[in-house]
Amino acid sequence: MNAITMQKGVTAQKTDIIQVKNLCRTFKVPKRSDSGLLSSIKALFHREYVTVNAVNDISFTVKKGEIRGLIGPNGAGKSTTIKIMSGILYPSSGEVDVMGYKPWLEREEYVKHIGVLFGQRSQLEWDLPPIDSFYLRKKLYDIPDEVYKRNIEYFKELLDIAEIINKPVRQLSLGERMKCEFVCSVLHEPPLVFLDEPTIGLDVVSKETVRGFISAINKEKNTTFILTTHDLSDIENLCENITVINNGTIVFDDGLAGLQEYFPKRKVVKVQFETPVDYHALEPFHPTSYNRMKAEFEVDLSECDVKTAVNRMFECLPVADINIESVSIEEVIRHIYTEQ
Amino acid sequence: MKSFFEVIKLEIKEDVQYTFGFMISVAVQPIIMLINIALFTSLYSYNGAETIKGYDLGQMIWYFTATHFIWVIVFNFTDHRISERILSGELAMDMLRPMDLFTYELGLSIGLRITALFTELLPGLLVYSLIYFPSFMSLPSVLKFICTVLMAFVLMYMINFLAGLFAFILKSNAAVTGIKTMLMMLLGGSYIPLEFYPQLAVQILAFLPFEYIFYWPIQFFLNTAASNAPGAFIRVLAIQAAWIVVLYGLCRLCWRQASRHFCAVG
Repeated sequence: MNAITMQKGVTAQKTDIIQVKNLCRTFKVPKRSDSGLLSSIKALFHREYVTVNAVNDISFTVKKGEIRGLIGPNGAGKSTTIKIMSGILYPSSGEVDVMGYKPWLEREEYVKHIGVLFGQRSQLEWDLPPIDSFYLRKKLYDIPDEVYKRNIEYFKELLDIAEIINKPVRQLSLGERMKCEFVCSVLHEPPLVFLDEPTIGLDVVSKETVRGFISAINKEKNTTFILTTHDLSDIENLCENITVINNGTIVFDDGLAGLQEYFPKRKVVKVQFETPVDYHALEPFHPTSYNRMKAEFEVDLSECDVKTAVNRMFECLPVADINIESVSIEEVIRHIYTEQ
Repeated sequence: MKSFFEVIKLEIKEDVQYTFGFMISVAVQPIIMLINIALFTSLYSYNGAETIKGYDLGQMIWYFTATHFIWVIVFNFTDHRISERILSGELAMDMLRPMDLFTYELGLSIGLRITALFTELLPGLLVYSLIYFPSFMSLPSVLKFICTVLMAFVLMYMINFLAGLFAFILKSNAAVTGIKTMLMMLLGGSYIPLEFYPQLAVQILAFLPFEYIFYWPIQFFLNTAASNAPGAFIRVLAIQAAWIVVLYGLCRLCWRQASRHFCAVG
């Protein structure tokens, strides 16, 4: 028997904190044949529905202390999966075990042990300063005085929010508000935090702060984070493992390194030239991108090894600088998204 | 319980920032009262009547002010709040709170009314008493009013909670809210005293919850003959309690069903 099922809410290190098995969720969506007024009126009397499989037979596990990236194109089923795991939605079928809880059945008790942040929604009271929302959470989650004080002081310093927590939320910038949303999601020291697009709309500096924050909490408190994002630099900076969802199913579930080596037979060679080069000189190498001073080539290792390819370039082109890289993560992700 | 009080406090903190809106009613209501004074004084003197349908002139004038007071005490935004949050998907955030929505919204409604008590009811009572002194009041009648109006608050809250959940089925809640307010006004006696309705209608209305929100608390406030009938107070309280039990059961049942079908857009 594993440690999770023995005691709810308490898990040993490096055991599975989340186990998802054959999870499905379907939605019934009303269907209208066209956009005319007549069809609207018809729909009043007889409405047809189509069933959409938002999540279709998903299985995965997450270990305690992990920062797991959950990525996929819009409408892939990421948010639905997060909402089921956080207890908001009932699944249509399948099993989810999070720290021994079935989230949707024991929701009120379960949510005390998790933190959630939806980048597009707010947990702060709009008309009040964030400190009032923090204090409400102290009472709702029954956070002891000394823990509350210690955490507020800690977050004030880490996120540089001492000035803003006493201003009404409506007067805060998006970046400032997001920092306070983060405090809301981890103030009660949950062992597991779900972050749904936490860096959406943030500038580079705020993004950096937010990433530093996630990383610090993960290291200091061994908090597990599940992170969905469209910003691949979030993934590259934070996640060891990623799960890619597309059309409701998992299409990739492995370490970040696995994603970097997704195309082991392909290398990207980037060349800088000493003098301008005409396109016809590059043509035999089939450049993927090009301007007169630099070019990028893709080498298929099953046809020719890197050494031969690079040697030929040195022979034929005025090379000033050369870089050999794996196919970028962005390219890999684009490939995974579109191949389905 | 500690967290419930904190929710009430939170709402008060929010409301005190917008007290101006509430205070406007203290300025508007005296005008309505002056119109009622002119209307009913001429009506009573034209008919040469001491009482109409059991109400003397002072009680009749104050009937409509009492209606306003009851609205001040029982009013809440729960139906709007819940239906809007269902339709926008914001309800997802409510479901992440370790407190059920019924309790949380109840806390907010209580906080909202505590603010109104100090910004609308007490100043109003003072101003209206200066315009037309409520000589019909007595201490027991006031105490009975307080008890019944508190029960009315709970009834109103539960009806609003249920009306809010209708958004799960209807996807738009304006019609339900409109119908609900109309029922309160017409069938609850907030529009005109129920004595003006046919006997049969009055008998039927006694089986609905609405008159226990408006008509009966008003009777105790006005210290009318009906409110002083033997056993009237206990009977009204018992019926209010019975409705509260029924509506509470309905609230729980509907919430359980509805939350299963919540699909949290966005």
